Order: sequence, then C-alpha cells, then structure tokens
Amino acid sequence: MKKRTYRIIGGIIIKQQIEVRTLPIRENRIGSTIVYGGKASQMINETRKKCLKHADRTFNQGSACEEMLATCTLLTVRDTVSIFHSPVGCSTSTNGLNIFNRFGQLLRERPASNARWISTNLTEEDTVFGGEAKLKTAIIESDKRYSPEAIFILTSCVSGIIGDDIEAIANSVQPRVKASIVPIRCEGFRTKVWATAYDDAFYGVLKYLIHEAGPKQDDLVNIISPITIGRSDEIEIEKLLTKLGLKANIIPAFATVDQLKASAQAAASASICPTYSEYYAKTLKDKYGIPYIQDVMPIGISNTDRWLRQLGAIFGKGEQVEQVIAREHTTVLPKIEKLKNKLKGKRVYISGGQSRAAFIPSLLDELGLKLVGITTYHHDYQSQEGFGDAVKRFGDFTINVANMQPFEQANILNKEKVDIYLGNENAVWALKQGIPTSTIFNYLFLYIGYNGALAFGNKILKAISNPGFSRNLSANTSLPYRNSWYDQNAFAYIRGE
Amino acid sequence: MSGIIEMPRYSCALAGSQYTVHAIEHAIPILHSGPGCAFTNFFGQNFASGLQGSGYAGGLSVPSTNLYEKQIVFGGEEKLREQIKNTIDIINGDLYVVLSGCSAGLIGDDIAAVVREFKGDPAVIHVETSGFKGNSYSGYEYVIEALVKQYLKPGKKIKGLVNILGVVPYQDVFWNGNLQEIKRVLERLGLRVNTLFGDGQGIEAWKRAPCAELNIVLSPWAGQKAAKLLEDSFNIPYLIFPGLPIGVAQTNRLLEEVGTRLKIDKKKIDKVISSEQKNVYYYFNRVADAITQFDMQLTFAQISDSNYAIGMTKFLVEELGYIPVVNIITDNTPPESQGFVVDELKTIYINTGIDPSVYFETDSGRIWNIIKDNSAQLLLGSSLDKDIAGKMHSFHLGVSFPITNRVVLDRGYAGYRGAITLVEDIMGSVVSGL
Repeated sequence: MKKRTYRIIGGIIIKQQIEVRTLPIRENRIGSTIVYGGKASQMINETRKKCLKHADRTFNQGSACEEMLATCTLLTVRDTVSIFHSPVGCSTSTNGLNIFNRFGQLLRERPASNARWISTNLTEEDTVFGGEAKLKTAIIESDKRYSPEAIFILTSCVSGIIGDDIEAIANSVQPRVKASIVPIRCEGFRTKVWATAYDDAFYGVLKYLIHEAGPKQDDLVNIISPITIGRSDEIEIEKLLTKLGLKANIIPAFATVDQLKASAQAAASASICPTYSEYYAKTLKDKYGIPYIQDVMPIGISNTDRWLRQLGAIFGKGEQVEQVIAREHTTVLPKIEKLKNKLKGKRVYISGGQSRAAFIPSLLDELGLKLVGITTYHHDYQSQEGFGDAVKRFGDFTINVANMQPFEQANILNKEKVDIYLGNENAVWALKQGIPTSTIFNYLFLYIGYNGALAFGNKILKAISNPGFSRNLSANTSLPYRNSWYDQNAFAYIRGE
Repeated sequence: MSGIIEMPRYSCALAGSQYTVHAIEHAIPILHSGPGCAFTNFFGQNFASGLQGSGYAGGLSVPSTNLYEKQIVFGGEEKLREQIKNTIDIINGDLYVVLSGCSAGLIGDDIAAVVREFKGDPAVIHVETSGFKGNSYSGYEYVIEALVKQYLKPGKKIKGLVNILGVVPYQDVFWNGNLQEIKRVLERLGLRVNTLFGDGQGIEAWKRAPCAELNIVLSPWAGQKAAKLLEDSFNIPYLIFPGLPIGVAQTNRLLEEVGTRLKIDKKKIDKVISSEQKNVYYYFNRVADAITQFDMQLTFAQISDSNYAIGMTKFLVEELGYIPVVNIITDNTPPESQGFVVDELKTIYINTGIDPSVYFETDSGRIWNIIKDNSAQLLLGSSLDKDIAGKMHSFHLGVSFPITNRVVLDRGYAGYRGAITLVEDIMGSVVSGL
C-alpha cells in the first residue's frame, strides 16, 4: 500500500514538473484523439460540436512514442548530436532512422554519413540514484568528440519517472560547452498523440537556439518539412517558389542550425505537412510576426492551387500565381486526363498521418479513383476540412482513427473490396491480405505539387498493373488474427472512457 | 560497462526478449510497456537486423498495453489484465509471453499476480524484462529462463536430440542461416536438432527441449545461463563451443566434440567431415584464381560480438591466411567471461604465430578511435562502420549488428557452407566497386 501511495504522489509530481517546462500535449491543447471508428460524416459532426467522446481501446497493438517522433524531427539537423537520456533501447529507433538520414543525404548530393547519437544507457542502478551525472558526461563527450553546433537532449519514460532535472543539467553544463544545449521533454508516456513531439522539439528550438530574429529576408519562405518529405518533393517546391521570385528555407530535416535560426528572419512560413508545423508556424508568427499558410498540404492539383494562392496573397503576387497555375495546368492536366482513363473507378484505402490522410483524398478524385476508407493516426480540427471535402466528393466512408492498430485495419480490409492500398507503416499487412500497395511518402519518389500528382498516379497504376507479389504472399502467409475477429465489428474494442 | 554509449550495437533487455519470442513460431509477446517500445524495437532490433521484417505478429502488430500517464500514476495492472484477455481472443497464438518494460517495472505493477489469473490453455507466462535491466543478450536469457521455470515440463529423454543455444535471434543478424547450417551438419551425424528458434521451431520444439541429451552452446558466454538452468532443471548436460563455428576446422571440431559427448561412431563422423571438407574446397579451388589475381590475402579489422570475434577471426586467419590487425568486441562481454574469450583468440597465436590485438568496447566513438590507429584493408563490422571504413580506405562488409545496408534472409556464415558464403561476400565487397 505504501508503495502504491508513493507511486501516485510521485506520478503527480512528475506530471507537474514536466508540464511547467514545456507545452500542453495536443490532446489538451487542440483536442486531438487517437481513437475513433465509424462513418466520416459522424466523426466530423461530433468534432464540430466538440462532443467527440474520449475513447480508449481495450486491446492495443504497439505504436510510436513522443521520444521517437522528436528524434525523427531533429536527428537529421546537420552538425548536431542527439542524446537519449534513457536506457539503451530507446536510442535504437535511430538504426532505422539512420537509413532515412543516409538516403536523404545521398539524394541531396552529399556523401552519406551517420547521424550522431549517444545513449546515457540508464541502468537499474541509475533508476535508484538518478542519471544526472551520466547526462552531464554525455553532453561533455558530445561536445568533445564532435564540437557540434547543437546538442539535443531527449527524455524517456525512465528519465521522466525518476525525475531527472534535465533543464538544470543543461544550464549548469552550458558554460562548459560550445554547442547550444537544447533539452526536449518527450517522455514516451506523456501523450497519446505523438505529434506532440513536433511541438516539444520546436519549443526547444525556439527557446534554446533562436535568441534573436536578426534582419528580415523579404524573399525567404520557411518550408517546414519533416524527414518524410523527399528531396524530389523539395525540388518541386523550390521550382514553384523560384517562379514567384521566392527562396525556400527548408527546415528542420537535413537543414543546418543556421537555417533553423534563419527561420525567424523569413517573410512567411509555408507548411507542406500542416500537422507537423502546427505549433512552429503559429509561434513564429506570435513571436516574430511571420505570416503563415497552414491549412492545406500541397498534394494534388486543387490543394497545390490553393497553397500557391495563399502564398501569393501573403506576398501580393496574386497575378503571378495565377500565371504559374495556368502554365502548370496546361502541362500536367492533359497527362492526368490520360491517367484517369486507366485508373477510373479503382477502389482505394488510405492509411497515414493526419495531413496525408486528409489531403490525399482530393487527389484521388482528380485521378478518377474511388475512396472507400481511411485510417488516420490522429484527428483534430486540422483534418476536419479535408475529410469534409472527401465526404462531398465520394459520399460517406469508413474512418478509423488509430495510432497504427493494424488489427482494426485488417478487419476493415477483409470486409471492403479494395483495389489499391495507399500507406506506409501498415502497408505490409494489407499486402499480406492480397491487396497491392503503394507508399504515400518515400524519399525516392515525388508526391508534392503538380508533378507529384502525376508521379503519384503513375505509381498507383504501376502497383495495380502487376499485383503478383501481394497475390502470392497472401496465398502463403496469414495474419495473426483468429477467424472470429473478422466476424466482429472492426471497432468492437473501442469503448468510451 | 554501464557508462554512456555512443551509437550502441545492441538494444535493451525488452527488445532482446521481444524478438527472441518472435523467433519462436506462433509465440506471441504482449508488451507491458510504453507506447513507443514496439516501433523502436521494430526499427532498433528487427529491421536493423539486415532489414528483416515483422513476420507473423511482430513489428507494429505486437500486442502492447501502451502505458500512458494515467497508468504511470495509477498503475497498469487493470490495463494488463484486459489486454491479456483480449489478446487471447483476437490473436491466434500457441503461447503468450507478457514482457514488462521500463515503465511497468518502475511503477511496480504486480505482473506475476495478473498473469497467474490466466491459467491453462493457451499458456501465458511472463518475463520481467525492463529495458534498463540489461541488453539484447540479457533479454534472450530472461526469456529462456521464464520458459524453463514457467512452461517446460520434464519428459523422457529422446535419443540423439540436441538443443542449440547461444545464437541470439536478430542480434546475430544471420541467426536463421546460421542455425539452419548447424542443424544440417548435426543431422548428418544422425542427430535430431532443436534449434529452438526460426523456421519450423514452435512450441513443439520447446516442449521437446527438456528431453534432449545435450545442449550445445555456440558462444563463449551467451546462452550459458540458460544451459546451466536447463541442466539444473532437466538434467541436460551441456557443451560449450566457444563462438560460432565458421569454416572447415572449427566445424570439424564441433562435430568431433559433439560426437565424443554423444558417443557417435568415429568413422561416421570422419565420413561426414571428409565429404563436407571436400565440398568446401571444391569451391575454394575455384576462388583461388581471384585471390591470386587481386592479391586478396587481406589485412582486416573486425568489430563484432564475441561469437563472431572468435569464429570469424579463426576462420579468416587459420584457413584463409588473412592477417588480423585488430579485434574489437562489442557485446558488453561479462568481465568474468572476457578471459575465456581472450584465451580462445590466443589459440590463433599458438597455431599461427599471429596475434590479433583484442579490445572490449561498446562505445562507437571509442571503437572508431581504435580503428583510426589500426588501418586494415578490410573492415568487418556493422553498417555503422561504413563511414570509418571509407575514411580509412578499407573495404567494408556488414557482419555484425546493426546491419541496414544489406538484406539478410537465410544467409549464414556458420559451418561449412557459411564459410563459402563469407568468402563470396568478402570478395564481393572488393569487386562490387568495380
């Protein structure tokens, strides 16, 4: 009993300690949820009326945490070291992310080299006596070994629960190192919505890296871009901006610390993944008066039109934008028409993060495809309009809000006739169900802008044209679910909290 | 070594446990841990092992309680109870293994008590494997310990049945291929081989494990706790073979030692040995031209766990005539086993007069400093070592964890066939740049 009381008091203290040092989590700040199953129209209504129930699952599959997504956000910033204040395992997501990192550098015509990270390797003993001394050592070693521009400290479940004071450590060590130390609170247990990690990472960047804005650059546009945006996507964006006489500052993925600092000097911020930039773009406006476009992802023809028009409005370049749009349409639309004939009526399921899930549907319509359902990793006000537009275009459809949870997806796909599955993290399970798949992001291919729309359509066509592997794989493997699971409602394990 | 680690070459106890369980067919881990452990372990242990994928119920499909703030404050036992019940309802498995991670360990959930409520068929067992309690190798030992103490039952001895221990799934990137080759060569002696992990190795193999006549530990330290426990619990003697047997000499020695222990007819062993040896040299005869043409008697530096440090170095020096420059061992070898590892490597000196210098080091920054002072033509290591190999103008081949620049499915370096594959891969790393 004593232990339990201690645990509760301890837990509350931890919660308070963490909350005064960073932002509110997205659940609290903007009402994001990771649990929903049903019809899109109903979810949109409930969200609008702010009566979306706080639900939970009584069966869960594994997921990602805030620490991992904070890592995704900052690991590829050049000339930095990421310190995982955690047991040895937490840092290993980098083994996978380092693939993105190396590929990303090659595509940016730089030699591939490892990202840099250090684990404080918290052991059982450290959980009793604290890990602060090791964190100090890790900071000093990072500086000694690499003299980086910045050192990011990423917290974990363990460092959070044992209550290590990372900000105090950062402050005390800062005078001894050249690098700027950026503590980031990203304990894995803190939030159900891993997108909170983007906020906390950018909070750290704004608080510890950008000390003053510096001179304004009139033609500079922040393109706030996660590592899932490929180099070919960036090139497409840069081309469009150049046509408007604007310059892209693509941050933070693969950027330099100086580029991060320059984000405070930009004339505007433009998101290519609204979920990702939600906090950063708005805070740059609040702190430095930088206007932003934040409510559309430039994927598909009409979304890209809208994105460009909003940008044009900020810079007073409306006419120029209309000319660019007209020229792009003349080149791309005839090709889209041809593709449309081949793709017409094919049934599509999408699974992905909030922005892709909400903004790809209009592109599907432009390609003549038919949407049958969506899994989105989380939902809040930002995906309302996209899903609403999708309902108008396709009629009502099944929506699954899930932090992965492939068992629900398997159940849905077993009931729907789907010709092509679009997604990444959960695509392998669809493939094993015999459905051809194609990615919705990938560093090797183009997705964004007008040419992205075309490339996306061609990629879908390629996947549909030879479903050999999915057919053979599904005949020779099985998913781990009992047959009885497929007889149930896909959302049978969701309950109101 | 419990200090900080730059770019670690293993994961935590939870990751090791999880992927050890995944390596048993239709055994289902249930993570009682933070929400991100599943994805991190997928990237960090599974995919980082030669891009091996999630298989039956791995990756992001693994059942997990995903402990958030509410459970951290109020406890996670209720959540776990519900999760176990619903996992059994939804996921088709033969055995369910609850694995408790860091947060569950720190908040003090009584996991054993919850698991005890699930008696009978299918079996549910649990492993206390908080990440901070060790590394991937510890995770492997914890799972076997739990199986022995909570699941396995004694049975009548089966003549000629042996179990293989010491090859840690996914942490040994080539575990599948290695185990298959060990099985193949031992079966040629007429033995029945439980590799316990991999294709076709499910709970039936594990239920038979207590009936084995001998446990073969292919490591100077990993798997030895498990072997001792199996000896104490089921009276199975064990044989420690120091390292992964690679090539003719070591595999011959393995067959001879196993043969002696199990009293297999010497003539039968000799016959197998001679036919395997002939086969290996059929191929080596054909690579000799390339070796002479390109003068491929290479100097090499090796960064790997102690299994490969011993097995691969012995093969390359004693059979291929390569010159070792430095041997860095990265598996956090327990201090009490380091002497044994060093002694094994000394036999190379005794046999050849060539002495590879040995370091025990887990920190990549310090590992690369050693490499900078020890230039070699070939660097055998993980994919993390590709950059330093480039700087040192060395050829690079990924042989140790993590490997993300090669796809590894059933490829193995153990045994006779593994040696042929290794020669192909090493020489391939040289000529592929042409």
